Amino acid sequence: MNDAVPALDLSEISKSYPGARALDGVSLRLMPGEVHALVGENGAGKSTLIKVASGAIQADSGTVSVAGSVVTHASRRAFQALGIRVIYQERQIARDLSVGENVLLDRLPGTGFVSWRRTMAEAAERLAVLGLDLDPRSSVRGLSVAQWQLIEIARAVDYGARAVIMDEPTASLSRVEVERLFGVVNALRERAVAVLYISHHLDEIFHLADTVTVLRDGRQVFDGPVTGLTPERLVSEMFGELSHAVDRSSTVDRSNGPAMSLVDVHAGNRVRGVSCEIFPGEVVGFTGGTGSGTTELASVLVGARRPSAGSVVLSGGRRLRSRTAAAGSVAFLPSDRKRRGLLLDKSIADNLLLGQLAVKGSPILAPGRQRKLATMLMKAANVKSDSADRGVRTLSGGNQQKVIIGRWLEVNSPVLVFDEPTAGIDIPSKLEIYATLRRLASEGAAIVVCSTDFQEVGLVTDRVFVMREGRIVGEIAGVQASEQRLIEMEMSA
Amino acid sequence: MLQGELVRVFVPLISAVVLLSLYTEYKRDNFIAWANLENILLQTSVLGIIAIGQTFLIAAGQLDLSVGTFSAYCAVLAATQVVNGRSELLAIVVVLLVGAFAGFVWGAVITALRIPPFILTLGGLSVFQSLALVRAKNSPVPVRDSFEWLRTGDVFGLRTPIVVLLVVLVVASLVMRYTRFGRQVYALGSAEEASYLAGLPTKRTKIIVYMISSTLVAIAGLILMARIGSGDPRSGGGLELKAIAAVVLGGATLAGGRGTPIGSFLGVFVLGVVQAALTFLNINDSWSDFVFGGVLIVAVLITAVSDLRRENKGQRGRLSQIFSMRGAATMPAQPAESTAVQQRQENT
Repeated sequence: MNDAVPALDLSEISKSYPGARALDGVSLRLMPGEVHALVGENGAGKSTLIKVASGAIQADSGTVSVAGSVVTHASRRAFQALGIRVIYQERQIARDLSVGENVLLDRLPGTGFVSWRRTMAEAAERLAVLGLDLDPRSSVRGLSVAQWQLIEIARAVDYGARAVIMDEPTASLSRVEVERLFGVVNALRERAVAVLYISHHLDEIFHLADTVTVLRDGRQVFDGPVTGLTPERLVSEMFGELSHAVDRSSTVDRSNGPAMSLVDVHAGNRVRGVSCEIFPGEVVGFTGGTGSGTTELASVLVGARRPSAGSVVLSGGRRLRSRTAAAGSVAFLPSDRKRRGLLLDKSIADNLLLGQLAVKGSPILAPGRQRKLATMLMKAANVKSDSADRGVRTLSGGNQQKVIIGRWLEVNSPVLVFDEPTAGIDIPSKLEIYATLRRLASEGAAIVVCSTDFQEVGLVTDRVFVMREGRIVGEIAGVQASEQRLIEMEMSA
Repeated sequence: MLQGELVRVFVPLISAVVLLSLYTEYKRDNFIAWANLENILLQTSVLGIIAIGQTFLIAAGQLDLSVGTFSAYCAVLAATQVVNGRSELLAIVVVLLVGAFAGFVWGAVITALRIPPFILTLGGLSVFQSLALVRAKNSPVPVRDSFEWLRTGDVFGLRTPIVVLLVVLVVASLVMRYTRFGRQVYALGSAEEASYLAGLPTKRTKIIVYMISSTLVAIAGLILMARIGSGDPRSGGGLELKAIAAVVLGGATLAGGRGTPIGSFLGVFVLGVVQAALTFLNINDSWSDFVFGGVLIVAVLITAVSDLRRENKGQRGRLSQIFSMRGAATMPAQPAESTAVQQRQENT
């Protein structure tokens, strides 16, 4: 394999933006049939490298070669024509078209008129090669985001494809769907297509990749085969020294009754009879696969979804009525922060003050005091930005999540519900968020973490409920909730 | 936020007004004079009040296309009340109550059934036009000596309609900027689902913005009636589009989350100055919409260019927001657009 021509060869790439050096002499070689992982915390330069590798931007210095010949002019079209494909994090799907049309979106076959017979036949063939069982004639509307992603991969992988760049492909996938994606990546490997795989998940890298490149602050700090590498080594390469321990030493206070009790809660066919009590000072996890009902349960717990049967009772016997009425008692960090968590076109300050806007208080808001509060919340939540007036859009995912947590820090609600709190964010931000969760618990809050990330619930919770098909199928202490144990519980139930 | 708004919206609008005024003054004397300014403000008082009401809606990601014909209906309603021997005060109270009630109905229906306001209020536009014609029996209802104080009277030396406009402007600005409700309006328009999940009273806020807008339209209808001296069922036509144009000119986006009463007022004022300048320059009045449309197009282009520049710094452009028209247009809901909403529907 070593004497083969690299599908994509980035050599000594440097790129600077005003005030920041994004890439500093980074070299990366993608061989045909190789799965090459690219890792690094947010801001390490991964996105810039992807942009250079796909022709979206031109490097300041260094060369990019595709299949042995140097490409001098950066343009997405040119790189596309040379067989470089990118699967972005955001789905690029025409929602009103069929599966087949979406597969062949950029080049429907036929001269002048589209040949539907050929479109469907070709789409079916492409899907089959990747082992996907989808009818090209069906609509994409009813499909899951994961299936959309696979359609995009089918679109990318035509006969001319040399290298496929996947940017965080598993960010919104369930366990089963991740397995399916792995199958597709392996199919690409067999067809001698090179894959550049960007991910925050170390287990995926060890499971899938042949080689790994680690970026830190725009520099390449590691480049080599995955074999012989340990996760600890990889983490320390990514972040330098890092402590993994999450301090779980808060005390549960059962003296005044539960902060929230669930009494046989149902929500359609998504949640079917969940009962439990959550006490001040503890972090309780609900976990399971993507269809297990944890997200729907989170909506019920915050009042955004009315239970079809059963009830949620807060301390003092108050029943949870609506999201608006519950705003002061139950803080919420929704999954899908961009759409459901943030005012994306507003400033950091506006987003931090949203918690104050939701709870009852004086009808008149003094701008000076609001400003001070926003600055204070930004500090308290450790949001990294020079000013609270900056657009929240400009922040990294981890910092955006901290903004959403920050908006509840002054509300002092007795219960906080976190739905997928660290999906798609880098490891240092994850650890910071875990530390914040634990600190809030030690200050007496009752915390619910709904998460499909088994590692996460094992790391941060005191008690874990394992769910499947809307029912609780097991309960285990947080310290014993290893990933292995949780999978066993989910499967055996 | 205000500083950015100042540079982006107010400076170009005010420059346009100043340049146009200077040019007209240079060609014909007496353009820059108090009497003329007063005249312009008087001419634009009805549209200005409607546009300020529409600002609440658009900032909340909503829209009401029925405001033009509804103002005419309110004008006819007030006129028929007085003609039928009721007192002016009673007529005003009736019209304001009808305004608030109409807004409540719009808001409640749009909130409860989750319909895009565009089509619903487009229907309202026709319905109110027809109701106005029926009530007025197809011709203007003269009010003779009634509402003289609203037509020619003045308060502290200012004509009454201007005073009403300025009071509405000041109160609306304070509400939008300094109250919990105002900030909730912007949050709702910026991201409805995120606001709802954070616990904001999004439904209540929506209903209230429709009530505010319709009540202001009712006030505008009273002034409209007083100024023409009759309740004319055909008087309010086209005001809805001019109001929306002025609001967008004043810095709002139809996607919601932006817009200020003062910006909308400036947008209306530009229209007034253009019209007055055309009169002064003896140009056919038919050109006035052309010039106003041109100002709107140029304003949008300027914003687009400055946004393209900003976009390169990683921010989303305003133009794309204008065209995305969330909540306003009739685009089908995207599959995952409103998970919480869908979930609530599933329950039922």
